[in-house]
Amino acid sequence: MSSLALISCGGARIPLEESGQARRQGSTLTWIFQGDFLYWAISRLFERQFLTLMGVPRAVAAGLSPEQRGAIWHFIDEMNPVSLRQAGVVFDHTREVPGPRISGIRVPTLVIHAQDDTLQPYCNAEFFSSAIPGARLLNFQTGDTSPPSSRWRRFAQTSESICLTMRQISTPLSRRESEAKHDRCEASAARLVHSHQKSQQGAGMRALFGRIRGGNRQMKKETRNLILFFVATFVWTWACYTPIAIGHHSPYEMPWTLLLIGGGMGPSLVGVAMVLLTFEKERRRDFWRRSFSWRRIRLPWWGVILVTFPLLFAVSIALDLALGGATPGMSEFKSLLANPATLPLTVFISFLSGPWSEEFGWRGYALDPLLKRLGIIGGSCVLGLVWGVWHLPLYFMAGTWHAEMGFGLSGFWTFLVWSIGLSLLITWVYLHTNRSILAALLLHFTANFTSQLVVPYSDRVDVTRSLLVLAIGGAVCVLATRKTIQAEPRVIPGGVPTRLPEPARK
Amino acid sequence: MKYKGIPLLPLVSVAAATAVFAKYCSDMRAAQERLRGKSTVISSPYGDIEYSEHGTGSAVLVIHGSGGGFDQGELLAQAVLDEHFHCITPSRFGYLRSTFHVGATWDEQAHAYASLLDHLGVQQVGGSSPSPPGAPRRCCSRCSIRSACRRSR
Repeated sequence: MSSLALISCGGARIPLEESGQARRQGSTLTWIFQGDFLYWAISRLFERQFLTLMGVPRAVAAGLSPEQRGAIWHFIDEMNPVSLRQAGVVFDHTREVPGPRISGIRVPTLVIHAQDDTLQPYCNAEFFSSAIPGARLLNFQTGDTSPPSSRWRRFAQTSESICLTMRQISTPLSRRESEAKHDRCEASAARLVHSHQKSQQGAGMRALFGRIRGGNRQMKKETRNLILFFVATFVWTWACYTPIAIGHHSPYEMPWTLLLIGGGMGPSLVGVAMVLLTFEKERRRDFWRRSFSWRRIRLPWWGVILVTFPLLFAVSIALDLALGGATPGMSEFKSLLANPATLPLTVFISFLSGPWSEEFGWRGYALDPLLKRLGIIGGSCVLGLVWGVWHLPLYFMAGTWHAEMGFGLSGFWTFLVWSIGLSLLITWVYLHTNRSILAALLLHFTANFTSQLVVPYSDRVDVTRSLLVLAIGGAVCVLATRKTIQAEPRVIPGGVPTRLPEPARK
Repeated sequence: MKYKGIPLLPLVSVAAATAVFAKYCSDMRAAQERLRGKSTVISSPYGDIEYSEHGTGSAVLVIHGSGGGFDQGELLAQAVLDEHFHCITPSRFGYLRSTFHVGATWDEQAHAYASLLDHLGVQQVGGSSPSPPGAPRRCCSRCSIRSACRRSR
């Protein structure tokens, strides 16, 4: 051996408490390498998270150019199929590191490492450079050298150093020449690091200046984005629905079904697109957490979500019966009782068609800015109204539930009242569950599913349930508004109360 | 708010799942194809050793990181070394077509490198390696290269 280059190398015996994160990342990666499909799917679906797992700091990942992203993707993709590498990965992860044995190395050694490498902690580089006699350490304050992300970027800058080290094999340099070349490389690297820091400082100043200019501009931008969201959602959905309605096609025949499904997904698709395009990183993370975190919903609110609509329908039906009405048909409910095996599929379809396809947009994207501008009641009512109107083309499609309702008493107008009432109720639950989009999604689901089980029911039941939900939703939101006025709520990035303040304890 | 009876939704889901599976199979085939015929396997006292070599000039043993194989070593060599090197990129124990023995050690891995270098008639070599991602506790095999190269001289 004539020379050695160690790039983002591990090998030090690091105390457990200092290497916890790296160990967790290593274990997770080892687990992902257990299956071809697992690796293939995760590396494609969760690209950003996967990069973080590979040790690329989030800030570095965010600043990558398309070429760098392409290089990373190439690197990650070339690990397929991982089943042929699995035994080696497990071997790497479980064998004891050499520790002090490494001090036996006597050849010229170049150690390259980034200080913010999360997978191979920087202390490894410090260990190598101190344990190997005469080793040179070329470090980067940021940039990670572990996975290929910025490794490729850094490699381009450090390859000269590596080549120099390697060339010592065939053309041994005098000590002075060698040191002079190393110094030149390090000076070059230092210049690169300095320019990188400078650009980061520039970005920081720009961000700070942006915040100082602050308020109104941000508000206007948010309003503009909100309007854009509504316009894009309506355009998307109505563009899908209009051909079905105008052509008098059945929405349950191909290819019109695809348009029906695609149009119905408008709010969520546009909402998620707006989140990805307009939210900064922290708010995006907040959005995803709110969308999928069960822990935000405390036990009593699970009760509210599950019980409210069955109770509301029970009261509506009881009132109808008291006034001489007939028992609802409950055809779907009877069908499910006869074939309980179809329940999961029915629940799945009901969950997708409405809650899943809409709530990421209505509650996930639009509700917060509306609440900020119009307050709890105003914001919820406007959203409910928009939501109701958005369904309009469905009234012109033969065979849909909305078309069957028509524009009569128990038709479009009652549905608008229902939408506004439901919007108020969802806002109330949303604010009490730490702005959980998941809670809104589930409440929307229980409303739809209960209705689906009870149908067909009389017009009176329909009107009663709509008025009841409006009354209950309005009442709880009025109470919520009073509480909000009485106590200062906590604020999250984006300027929206995280949740309603707790009532004062007596 | 709700669309009653969308009977084709499950079918759409099945079609989507089929498309994903087809893409997966196609990617796996492409990956297998990419590996085919690009490396050589030799027998050694430490089992089969797979390697590839490129370029002419000073010999450099390029050792891949965790999750790699000779192909990752080639990527590394392309990224960091210019064309004036003879890059030897082996697959470590348990990667691709290199044998994995239960209870293998880093020293044995080093001896395997030495066998490979002996087979290639390389007397002197430089070593270059990235970190094996996912293996914080793994041994840096480069420490063993020293003994490997001593053997090969």
